Amino acid sequence: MIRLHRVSKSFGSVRVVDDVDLTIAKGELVALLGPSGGGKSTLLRIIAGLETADAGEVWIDDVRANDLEARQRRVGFVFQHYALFRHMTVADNVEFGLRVRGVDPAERRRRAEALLDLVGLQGLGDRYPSQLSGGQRQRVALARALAPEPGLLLLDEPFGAVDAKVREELRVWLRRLHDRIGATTIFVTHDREEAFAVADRVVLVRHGRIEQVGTPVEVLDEPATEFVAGFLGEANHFEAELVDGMLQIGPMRLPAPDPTHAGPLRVVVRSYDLKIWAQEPGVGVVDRVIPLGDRVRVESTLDGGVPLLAHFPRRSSLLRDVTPGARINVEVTQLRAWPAAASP
Amino acid sequence: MSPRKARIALRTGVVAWMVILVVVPISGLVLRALASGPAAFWGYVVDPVALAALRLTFGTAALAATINAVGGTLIAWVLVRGKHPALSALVDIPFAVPTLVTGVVLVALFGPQAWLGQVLIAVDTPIVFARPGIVLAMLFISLPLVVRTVEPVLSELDPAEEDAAETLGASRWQVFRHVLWPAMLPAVAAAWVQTFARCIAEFGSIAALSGNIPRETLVASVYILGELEAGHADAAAAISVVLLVLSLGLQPAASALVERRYARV
Amino acid sequence: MSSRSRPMQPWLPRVAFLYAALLILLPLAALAYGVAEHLGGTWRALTSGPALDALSRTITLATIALAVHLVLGVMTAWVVVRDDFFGKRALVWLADVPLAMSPITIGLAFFVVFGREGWLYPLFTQLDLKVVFAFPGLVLVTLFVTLPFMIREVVLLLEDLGTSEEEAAATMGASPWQVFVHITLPNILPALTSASALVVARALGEFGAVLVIGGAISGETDTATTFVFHAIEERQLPAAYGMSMVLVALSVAAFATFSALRRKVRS
Repeated sequence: MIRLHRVSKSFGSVRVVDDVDLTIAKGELVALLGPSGGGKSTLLRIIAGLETADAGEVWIDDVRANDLEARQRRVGFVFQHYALFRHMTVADNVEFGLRVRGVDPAERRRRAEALLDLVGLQGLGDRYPSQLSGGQRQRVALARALAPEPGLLLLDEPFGAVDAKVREELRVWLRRLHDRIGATTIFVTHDREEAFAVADRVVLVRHGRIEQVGTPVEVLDEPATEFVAGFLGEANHFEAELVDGMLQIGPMRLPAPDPTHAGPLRVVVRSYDLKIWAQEPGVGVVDRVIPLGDRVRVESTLDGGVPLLAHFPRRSSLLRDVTPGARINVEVTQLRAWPAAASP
Repeated sequence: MSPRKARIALRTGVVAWMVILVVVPISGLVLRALASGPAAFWGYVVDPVALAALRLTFGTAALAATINAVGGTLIAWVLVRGKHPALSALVDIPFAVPTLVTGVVLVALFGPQAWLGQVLIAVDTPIVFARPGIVLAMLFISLPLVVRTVEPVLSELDPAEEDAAETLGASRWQVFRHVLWPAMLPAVAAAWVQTFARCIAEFGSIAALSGNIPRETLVASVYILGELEAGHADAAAAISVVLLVLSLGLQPAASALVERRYARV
Repeated sequence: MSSRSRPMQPWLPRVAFLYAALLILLPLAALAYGVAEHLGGTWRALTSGPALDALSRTITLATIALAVHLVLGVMTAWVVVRDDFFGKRALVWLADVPLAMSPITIGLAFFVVFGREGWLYPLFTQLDLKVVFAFPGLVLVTLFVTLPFMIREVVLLLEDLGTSEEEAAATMGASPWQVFVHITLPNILPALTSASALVVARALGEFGAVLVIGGAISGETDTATTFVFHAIEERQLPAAYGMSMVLVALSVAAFATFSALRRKVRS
């Protein structure tokens, strides 16, 4: 179990991790998701002991870990660019954690081979990292991290440096591995598909702060902030005013979800939570219709200059007559609203 | 002139330049060394004073190379992993100091008339006019060489590998031994070789501070000068050729080492 | 963002600084102290005839070396990198030879070839050109010891730069000379500035070779370094320290100047 209590870290004058509280249960697979530079990797490194927090406490399995060095924390870390020891063979890499703990050579070799089997790299023990592909190297990195049987596995953008096809395979494979081994696992990613595909729970991190924690369904259907709503899918962000109990967004009038919010509002509507159809006089005009394989992307402008983005399944009947220049009407099936506070 | 002709002219000019400036003098030297025949050549080389000079030169150069390999690597590490512009400037100073001046200054610092020198004489470890002085002069002039040879290689090391080793449970010593050292070794070895080659050729600083006592503090370059001044140009040329062949043989070794990315340890 | 915010162990920089300070600062301080100690006599000694003569000779040699290598060194580097012919590798190897040679050996080699028993002696006597114990000899050895610097730096940079810019210029109709002047030359300026500093510093500091080939004849072949040598032998410390300081100052000035030039070029 991992517990972070009011953890903060600055590099120079930049607050990279800002007053973070987080609890992760034993055996969970958690994703730290957010845009690049948001502090996710730093958070991970603080948990690993590779960085020290300026403030706050880190608890690992009911032990206060702040003063423990990385080597004492029994944490397995997989780096974005593998960080394999270039001058050692694959087997030597995997054995390293056992070697520095004094495990005898025969036992080391046995465990390394078992792990290489586990990650699907049997027989490649005598190769050097430079002779392997990106996906293979990442699996060696994983095997290496697992060898000392850590209680906690941390992965920093583990599939970032690998190409798209391989990434998908590795995702599936990581999930299966986790289910098999059961170690508490935290991984950092900026790819929301990856987070949703693999994790039990998702932690949304931006500017060093946690915006929301929840299962993929929870954060998708009940985003806590405008950022979460926008980050988890292509979305429209509108400025709105509450007028006579209804939301006024440009030329559209929509029922307000929570009548008690006064003042200017920010409204987020997912691109698939809209219906558009050709109708005169309508509230806007179509700019472009772009086929994207199984979906169609419709870019429009509402009267008054507000841009609108909608996605439809390819064969949707709603798309009849929706062509560039056509006037359209819009129906919103789901929206979320927040007060327009100062936060950027 | 057509481009092709111009190119050939350029090529010819450059080759001629290099031949005149380098090939001619070197051949002259080698021919002079062998002027009295190979037997005489050998005789010059095995002369006891010459041998003593060579032995002293190689011994002190090896020691200086070893000490600076450690010190210089340490400095290079600090420069690569930290921000120390002052240290960087400091390291380059010996390049700007004529070697003779180095010798003069070391005499001023550690010579018998300086208080430091008198202290050293009192504890029976004189530096000037003794072997330690030779090593000291060599250390001074070769430090930038070591640092600038090792620095680029150190800057290519991936700190993530050290992080990885730490998370796997390695102590700082283990990180150094298993991750850093194998990666640094080729560059440090190359620096050693280059320093050695540089130091066996050194003249100015050593001439000024060693006292040039035959068999005691007489290094090869000073011996060569002595032979020349005594009219034994052949002998001087012979010992010169020995040093030259050794240096030229060492250079490719150093280059090969620098090219190797890491030692398979 | 740096991947390692944890500082290296504190003893590392301390030991490094200590080593560098002891080895380098201490002698430098001793030099400054020596100059200060004899300050009174230093000015007089440095403005004497022989001193000015020796210094001007050294500066002339450094200037000649720089000028020659800026032209011939760049030419050589260009041929090594861009041209192809049998034996090209030998050129590179030859350029590095001076680095492997002791200054005494260098002086000896030229002495042997141009001296009275040397095989080029008759030719030069006919041309009424004295090389050994004369200024031309000094020029030759200075050119020799400074040879590698320009070539190495320019070769490295030319290899790194690649040919794409030059090819692009050629396709736009530039002649080879125009390509060189407008594309290649500006691109290799960093190498030229670094190497120039090294050439000048090396030329200023050359001692053994000029001693052997020139004989350090006051008024004819005395250089700043041999001047210092004489001064030491004659126990004239103000002159020795003063000239030493001038040499160090000139080298440092050369480094600083070319460094500044390099930065200016970059902007």
